[in-house]
Amino acid sequence: MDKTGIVSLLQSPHIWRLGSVQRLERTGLPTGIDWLDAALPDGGWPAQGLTELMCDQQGVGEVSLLLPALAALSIDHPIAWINPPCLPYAPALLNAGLNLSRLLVVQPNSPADSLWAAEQSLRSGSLGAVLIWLKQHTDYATLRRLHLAAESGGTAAFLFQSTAFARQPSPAPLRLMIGQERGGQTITIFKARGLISAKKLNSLAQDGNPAHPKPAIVSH
Amino acid sequence: MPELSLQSVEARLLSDQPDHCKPPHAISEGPDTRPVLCAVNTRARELGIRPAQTVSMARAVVADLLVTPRNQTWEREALEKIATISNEFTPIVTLDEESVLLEVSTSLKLFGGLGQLFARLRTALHESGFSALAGIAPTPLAARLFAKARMTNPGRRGALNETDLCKRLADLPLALFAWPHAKLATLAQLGLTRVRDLTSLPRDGLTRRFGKEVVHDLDRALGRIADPRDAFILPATFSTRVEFIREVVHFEGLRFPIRRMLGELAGFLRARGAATSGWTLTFEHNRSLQTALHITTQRPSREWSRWESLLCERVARSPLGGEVCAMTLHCDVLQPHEEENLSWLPDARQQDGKVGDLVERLAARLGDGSVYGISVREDHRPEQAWSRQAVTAATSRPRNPAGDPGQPWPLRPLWLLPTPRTLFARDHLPQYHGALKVVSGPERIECGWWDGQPAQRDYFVAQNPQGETLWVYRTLKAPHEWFLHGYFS
Repeated sequence: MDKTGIVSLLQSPHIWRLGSVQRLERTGLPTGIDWLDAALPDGGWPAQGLTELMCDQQGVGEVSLLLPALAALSIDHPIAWINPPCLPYAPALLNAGLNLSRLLVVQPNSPADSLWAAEQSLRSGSLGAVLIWLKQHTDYATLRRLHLAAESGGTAAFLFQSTAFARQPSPAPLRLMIGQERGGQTITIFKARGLISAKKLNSLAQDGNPAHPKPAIVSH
Repeated sequence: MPELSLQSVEARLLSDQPDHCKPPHAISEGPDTRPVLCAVNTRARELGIRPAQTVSMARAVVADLLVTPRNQTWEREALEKIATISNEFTPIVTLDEESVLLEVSTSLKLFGGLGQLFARLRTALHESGFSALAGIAPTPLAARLFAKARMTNPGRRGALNETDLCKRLADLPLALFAWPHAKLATLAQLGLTRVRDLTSLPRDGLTRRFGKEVVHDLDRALGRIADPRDAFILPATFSTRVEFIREVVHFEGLRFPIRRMLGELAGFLRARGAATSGWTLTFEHNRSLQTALHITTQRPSREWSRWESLLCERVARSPLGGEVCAMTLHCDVLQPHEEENLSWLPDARQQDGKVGDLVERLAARLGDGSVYGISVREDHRPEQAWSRQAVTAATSRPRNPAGDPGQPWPLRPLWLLPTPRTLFARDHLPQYHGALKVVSGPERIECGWWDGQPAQRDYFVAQNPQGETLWVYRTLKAPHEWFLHGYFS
């Protein structure tokens, strides 16, 4: 049997390997935030496939939301940041518990190259997560390409978009809208498996912690 | 190597046409005043051109005959290239004027028998544009004679053991030996045309009549005396060059020759038991313009298909500078090759290899500076507290995955603006989509006076009416300007 056969076989959710049973029971990547884990159908971020995070502003905690999950992933998986809007700032990432030596920043020169780089990274199957910022309009076919690439590579893809795209159809199994309301972060689950209508969560109501920004949670 | 003079030119001078519609081509030698053809290609032969015709006569028959003067340096280079290719199949290869000798008895088992070995050697030679006649015998001289004999009689067989050798060698014509023409003519006049005619004669008489050389050569061919030869030693660097008869405009037209050159490089590396982490391909355009592409890989490798895809990505990013009339591939960084252990279950090393491949591909298409890792630096100035890092670090697995985080940093934003942005202030309050409300601060950073980039700032975490959390600072010195330096994402 060829090696790729074994790899895909081992990635199948139907096969349990002794020693990694716990991981397979919860297919999602824990977000590190209990009330969010409870609200998401997989018990966390989808471990493979596309997740869309939509927000219009830049300082509303959209990336911080991912940091606990990324910190756990970065222990032994590289994480790619494709076309980030600013410099991902190393001290803050270190504070959040990320393993900096596993981060890969990719700064393509054109939108087409960004898409290409995102697809290549997702397909390679060697990365833990890929964070993507696309500045141009993304249509359904593009999103589907990314989603399929993420599924075939078994990689979690997080796409940051403007809320302007919220109304357009998307193949992503999980779509969130992140906003800010009365000093608390609001997360609207726009689309998720088993979800009938959009669900709005407020960090203020959930853990009563108005202190924002949440300083990087160092959980070691 | 039959018609080496022609082969050496044709392997070097490529045309974009398939074999059967190549133009008639011939090689000339002899004095400039009266050059004579010494080798002709298939097309020229069909048109009635024969070796030993004079060039002027051949031109009278076929006006557009392409005639290239014989180039012995090229011939030698071609032989060395063939020896390099052969080195992949056996460690002992020797060269003489027009043939390459391989000691194969020790390689038979590895390659699964003589038939397999021959087939692979022939394919490897064919890929590089050469065709050879092969003869096999227990002694080097006899092997050469058998190979040469097949030029006129393709059915002639070699010998695998001593008894066959004596029997089959006896049938060979004496003209195959590289003896002077006068001597061969005398032998023929005496009715001695085959090897058997000589072996049946008394040795003393032969030596007296024809000199030591004849008996000596016979003994060497029959394995009666030792015939040591110097082995061909592979050069330390690899370099190969092709020229085009017509200039090539599109990269697609270059792919076949590039593939062949990369295949030769991979063969050279295999023969040397080495791998390389980088090579340079130089395209020569008209008027001595050159474009050099340097391709580097994360790990030393000798997989030419990977190189080819990296090259294609690179060419997609920066197209060629114009029509190409020649190409040179050069490689001088040789590293020991490490074979990969195959494991049934995927392991960490394999995953790292895949990340390395991905990084190579991204860097080849997007440019080296577009893919990088980040790390922290011990500096209080925010813009100096991080650095870009070569990406190799991101792909190698650290021994201590958690690392030593050192002192935790004070609260820092996730996004840093490459250059701070001036904020407009009204009533001493900075504005960014509305008046900012200070959440925490100040944190004073005052340092860097020693290296000419001093920073004297009071940093605040502030929030605007839209709920964005920002990292702003005010300069300590008058006029106390406000700047935006980052976003808490």
